[in-house]
Parts: sequence; C-alpha cells; structure tokens
Amino acid sequence: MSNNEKQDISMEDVLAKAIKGDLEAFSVLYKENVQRIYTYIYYRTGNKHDAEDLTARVFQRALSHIGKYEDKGVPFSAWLYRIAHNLVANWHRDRSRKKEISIDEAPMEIPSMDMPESSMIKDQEIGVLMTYVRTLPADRQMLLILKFVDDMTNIEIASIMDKSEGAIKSLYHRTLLQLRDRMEEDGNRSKENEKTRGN
Amino acid sequence: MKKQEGIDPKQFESELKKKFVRVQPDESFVKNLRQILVEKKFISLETSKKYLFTISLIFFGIFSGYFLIWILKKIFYPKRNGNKESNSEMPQE
Repeated sequence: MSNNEKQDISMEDVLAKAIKGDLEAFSVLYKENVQRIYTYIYYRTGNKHDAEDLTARVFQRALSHIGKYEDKGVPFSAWLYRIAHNLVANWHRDRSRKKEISIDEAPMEIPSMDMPESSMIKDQEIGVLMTYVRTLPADRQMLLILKFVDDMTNIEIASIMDKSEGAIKSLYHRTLLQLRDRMEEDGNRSKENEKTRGN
Repeated sequence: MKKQEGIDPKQFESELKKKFVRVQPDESFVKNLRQILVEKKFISLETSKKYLFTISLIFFGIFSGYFLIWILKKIFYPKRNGNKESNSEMPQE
C-alpha cells in the first residue's frame, strides 16, 4: 500500500480494517494516537520511564482487544484514553503503598524535567504545575489534560469520560477553582514564610 | 469573596493553556513499540506455523512407522502363526 493510497483511506476505513485484524491499519491508528496517549500518561505519572511502559501497555492491550471494539461514533482515541486511564489508575494503586509526598514537601524542580523531552517542556513552572495537577482527583486530571493538551471540546471530553456535556462543564469550572485556590494558598504560604525569615 | 480577590479565572485559564504542552516521546521508543506491535506479531505467527508443521511431521512419522510395522506383521506373522497352529494340530504320540 503506497503512502498516497493510505492518505486517501479515511480513518473510519482504517479502523474497520484494524478491527478485522489488519496490523498495517492498526499501525496507522498507533501513529495517529501515540503522542497524545504518551502525553496523557506522562502528565499523570510525571516520569518518562513509566510513561513509556504504560503507553506500550495501552497499545498492546488495544491490539489484543481491538477485535471486540464497537464503533459507536466516538473517536477511537476515546477508547485508548479509557484504557490509559485504567492502567494509570492501577499504576497509582500499586504505588500507593509508598509514602505520598505533600505539595509542601514536593520538590519544586521535578527530576523528569531533565529528561530528553525537556526541550518541549522548558519552564520549571510546568514542573510545579504538574505537581499541583497530580494532587487533583483522577477524573479532574484527565479533564485538564484533554482540555488543554488535546484541545478537546466539552462534548468530546464528555464522550471519553462517559459523562454529559453539562457535567463536564461544571466539573471543569470546579477543577479550575480548586487548582487556582491551591496554588494561591501555597503562594501566600511561601510569601509568609519569606516574611518571617526576613524578620 | 476570597476567590474574587485572587487571579482572574479567564487569565488563570489562559495561563494554564500556555503551560500545558504536548510531550514528544522519544522517536526510538515510538519506532520500537511499533515494531513490537506490528512486525513481531508477524514473526510470532510464522513461528507458530512452523511449530505446527513440526508437530504434524512428527505425528505423520509415528503414524506411518506404526502402519509399516502393522503391514510387516500382517505379511510375516500369519505364516509363523500358521506354522505354529499346524504344529499344534499335529497328533502327539
């Protein structure tokens, strides 16, 4: 199959072929979605190695279950996001035995920022932001990532998260307020600490 | 009231949007994973076919060997049995 022919075929056709077991078609779906799934997992885990490991597992699981996939008019990425969401939840559960670090104790310079993708993520502030985001409940983290990284609409997010558009709207509003309040509280606290040190 | 004193929600939203960026995975990782998913699948299918072929060859060998022995027995045993039977039928003095 030439490149031009591949481009002519719509993603629906590719998906239909992949469902029938066409590995070349699955490869197209993989190329189309690998970066967004990696990004989602990277934001949820905060490190490259786990992001790569979980991304690989998402696509291996997708490949082994694609025969059972039913096209309900929802983007294929929604299905991948759900797999990723479940795997990340399991990953967090496995790690929950380890001591959780509060925001006060958390390092503000995240080590993962030193990794190769640091060219994409230049700012230290992003590392701080990630620390805050990871303190939010899983569904809120997912919402923020889909909204800001993938630039999805509320309807698309609703289809992925299996919620109504209204529910997503209100969850988004609450999430922003929660995040903002936490960041402000910490900002105020650090200012007070600086003042007391100065005195 | 406290919330109104803080950062403007719209401003906060736009700042967040700037900070959230798509992360580029390593190219080698993307390539390797593609190979694992797509190309190794073919190899595993081939090896499984080879494995099946070997098993069926062994079974065929066993079956044909058994069949050969059975034919040889059919050819030679009846004569020997016939001799024994003829011997046993001989009147003993």
